[in-house]
Order: sequence, then C-alpha cells, then structure tokens
Amino acid sequence: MKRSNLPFSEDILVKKLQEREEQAFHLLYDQYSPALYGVILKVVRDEETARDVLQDSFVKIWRNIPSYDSQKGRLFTWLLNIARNTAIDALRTRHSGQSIQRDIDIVDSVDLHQQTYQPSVETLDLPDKVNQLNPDRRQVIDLVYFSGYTHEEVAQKLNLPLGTVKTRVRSALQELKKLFGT
Amino acid sequence: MNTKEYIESGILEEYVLGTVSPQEKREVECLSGIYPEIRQELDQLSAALEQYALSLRHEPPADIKARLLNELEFGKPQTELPPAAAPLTTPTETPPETVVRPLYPEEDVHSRPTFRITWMVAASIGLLVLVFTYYLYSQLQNSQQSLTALRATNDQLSEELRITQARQIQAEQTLAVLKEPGTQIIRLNPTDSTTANLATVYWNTHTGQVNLDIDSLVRPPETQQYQLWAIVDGQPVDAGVFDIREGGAMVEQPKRFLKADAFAITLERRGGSPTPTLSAMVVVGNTNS
Repeated sequence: MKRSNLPFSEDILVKKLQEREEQAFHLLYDQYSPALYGVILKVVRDEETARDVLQDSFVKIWRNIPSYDSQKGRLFTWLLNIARNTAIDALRTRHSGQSIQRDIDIVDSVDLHQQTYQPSVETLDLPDKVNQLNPDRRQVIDLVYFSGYTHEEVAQKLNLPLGTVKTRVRSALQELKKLFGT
Repeated sequence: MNTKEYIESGILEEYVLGTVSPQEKREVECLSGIYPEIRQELDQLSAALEQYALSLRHEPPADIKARLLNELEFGKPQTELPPAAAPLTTPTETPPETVVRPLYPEEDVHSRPTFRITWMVAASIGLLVLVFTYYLYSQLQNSQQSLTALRATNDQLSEELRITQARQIQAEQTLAVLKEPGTQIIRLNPTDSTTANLATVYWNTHTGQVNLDIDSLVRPPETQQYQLWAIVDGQPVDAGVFDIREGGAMVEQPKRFLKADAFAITLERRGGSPTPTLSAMVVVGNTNS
C-alpha cells in the first residue's frame, strides 16, 4: 500500500486525526494497521499477544496524536515507534521472569524459523529486498530495532566489540537506505 | 557546523533505531530542524525502515478494528478545515457519527440537580440565619426599651417614696410637737392681708420651745434673710434667722420664750438685725396668752 492511496495529504489526515474524526481513524487504521501488525508480530512472535499489542498501540496513537508534530518526524515512523515500543514492552513483561540470555535464545530460534519460512501472502507483492541485505547487518537491525537491544547488549550477545556493532548498525541502515532508495 | 561529519557519525542511524539518549534525541530533532541536509538524511533513513516494516505487512484480525471503534472516543471536528484543503478531501462515504451526549447539557451546568439543590440549601440557610438575626436584633431592641422604661419608672417611684418619707417625717415631727402639752398654734398672717396662713409657730408655753413651720413664704434674695421675732411685753425680741428650704420642714428655733404676746417675721439683711425693720414685716400672729 502506497502513501498515494490516501484520499488526501498526510497533513490533512493528521489534522483530521487531531480533531478526532472517526473517518480519519478509519483511513489511518486501514492504511497502517497491516504494517504495524507485521512489525508487532515480528517483535512478540505470538498472535495472541500481537492482537493485544496492536489494540494497545492504536489506543496510544489515538491518545497521543494531538502531540504529534510533523516537523519532528514522519507520521508512519511515529506510528511505527509507538507500535514497536509497545510490542517490546509486552515482550519484556512476558519474559520478565527470565534472564536476558534466555530471551535472546528465544528470539534466535524464532528468527531462524522465520528466515526459512518466508514470505507471507501479504508480502509477496513486494520485492523481497530485505533478503538482499547482508545477513550480519540484518541481524543487528533486527536485534536493535525489533527486539529493543542496546548496542552494548548486541555486542555482548554477538561477542563483538562495541565499535564493530556501531559500525555494523550504521552500514546496515545505509544499505537498507540504498535498497529502498527513492 | 560540519553537517557531513555529523551525518557520518552514525547518530542519525541510532536515532531512527531508537537507541539514543533523551539528550541526543533532542539534539537530533533540533539540528534536523535547522539543517535541511540532516533532515533529508533522517527522512531517508526513516523511509528505509518504513519500507522494511512494510515488507513485514500482515493483515490483522478483523475484530480488532471493531473493538477499537468501540473503545476510542470520537468527536466532531472543532474547526472547519481550511478551504484550500477542500479539493483534496474526497470522502467516498461518511461513517455514522458517534454522537457523544454529556449526561447533562454542557452549556447548562448550573442547572444540574445536585448543583441546584446545593445552591438552594445554601441560600435557605443564609436566609434563615438572616431572619433569625433580625429577630434577635428586634428582641434586643424591645428589651432595651423595656429596661429604659422600667428604670424611669423605678426612678420616679424612688423619688416619690423619698418625698413621701420626707413628708411623713415632717408630719410626725409636727404631730409630736403638737402632742406635747402646752403647745399653742399661732398662725402668722400676712400684714397686707393678701394671702392667708403663710407660716405657723408652734409655741410650747411650758418649755418655751418655739418651732416654725414655713408654708409659703417667698424666697428672699441672697443678701437677705427672714428673721423671727417674739413680741414680749411690747418689745420685739430676736428669735433667730432662718432660710427658706425645699420641702418646708419645721424648724426648731434655738431661743426659748416662756412669755410672748405675739410672733412676727421680718425680712432683714443676712445675719439678722438687733431690732426689727417694721416696714419689712411680712407676717404677724398674736398668742393666746
């Protein structure tokens, strides 16, 4: 789904959302919920939890939309961060009794599973550019962006120097930028 | 500022991944607002992550949207959209508006039952206090008036009692003098015969005691005094001076006369005279002897 599918510009949508128009909510949900749900699923890896997280995320979006400022960032990025943070929080709550090492192991096992089982029906229409990403670089993005690890935690987990992790994160994003470059 | 260096430092990548500190976050947001090239890099990185997210798209269960529509609060827009934006707005359908009605009309918050009752109770209490205060005040006024009236009456009665007691004492003294054996009552009549019985002398022929009872003599000037005379063997003998006093009590004269033909009162200079001024004789009365 492309941004151009919106019946009007993003600025107008934001204004209507901030005025709490129900019609605007329909547009927002239809436009962004699949991507947000996909990200949430990738973080929590459990459909039952993902449903709750998606619902919580939209409640937070609706509550915080009046404070959204387009000057500070893109709408979709703002929405993604809310969904991602809510999902990471849910994941941490769920695994609060377990050690971080155990948590990482769970993430790893599912990661392997997802890498072999791809793509879903919804993503078929997109060129699977993500798979063109260098696996090492993709791994750091997934750990940092989708699992909420700090660079230090990534360094510890991958047994790499912190500087290497930082360099790898930067080059991973630069590569991603080139892949999806406009 | 060297924006190229800043962009290559990797902080923008950390920013879009959400691993920066709050301080770094503010710094990036501030600088991206100032330098377009930083903003552009930030947008490209964000877009790349958005594309990554889009590649993960997964249709959520249908019931979530329905639940959200139930849970969220929607309102009508407070302001109309600017006219310039109108051509962009092409809604194909208008979803039914969720009408949110407040429990009580918002514009009439003062007519809410609780508010009204509270107000009425407060007003009633205030009114009661006011009425009661006025009642107490009028009671106090009445009491004070009654007290003043009673005091006046009391004073009047006391005065009357005092006068009555004084008169009684006087009457008793007169009676006691009269009861004594040998007492003669000599009425002193005015010499010009205008007014009768101006004074009375009670003379006891046994003891020689002389009591004078003034009835209605005119009060003389300060320089003058009345003087009583006894006429003995044709000659006036001084029987003492006296003043006219309030109440007209009987005055006992210091001098005694075992013999007298008549008594007379003259008006003399203060202190008395050795001989009476006959022209100033006011009253005179003969004894029976």
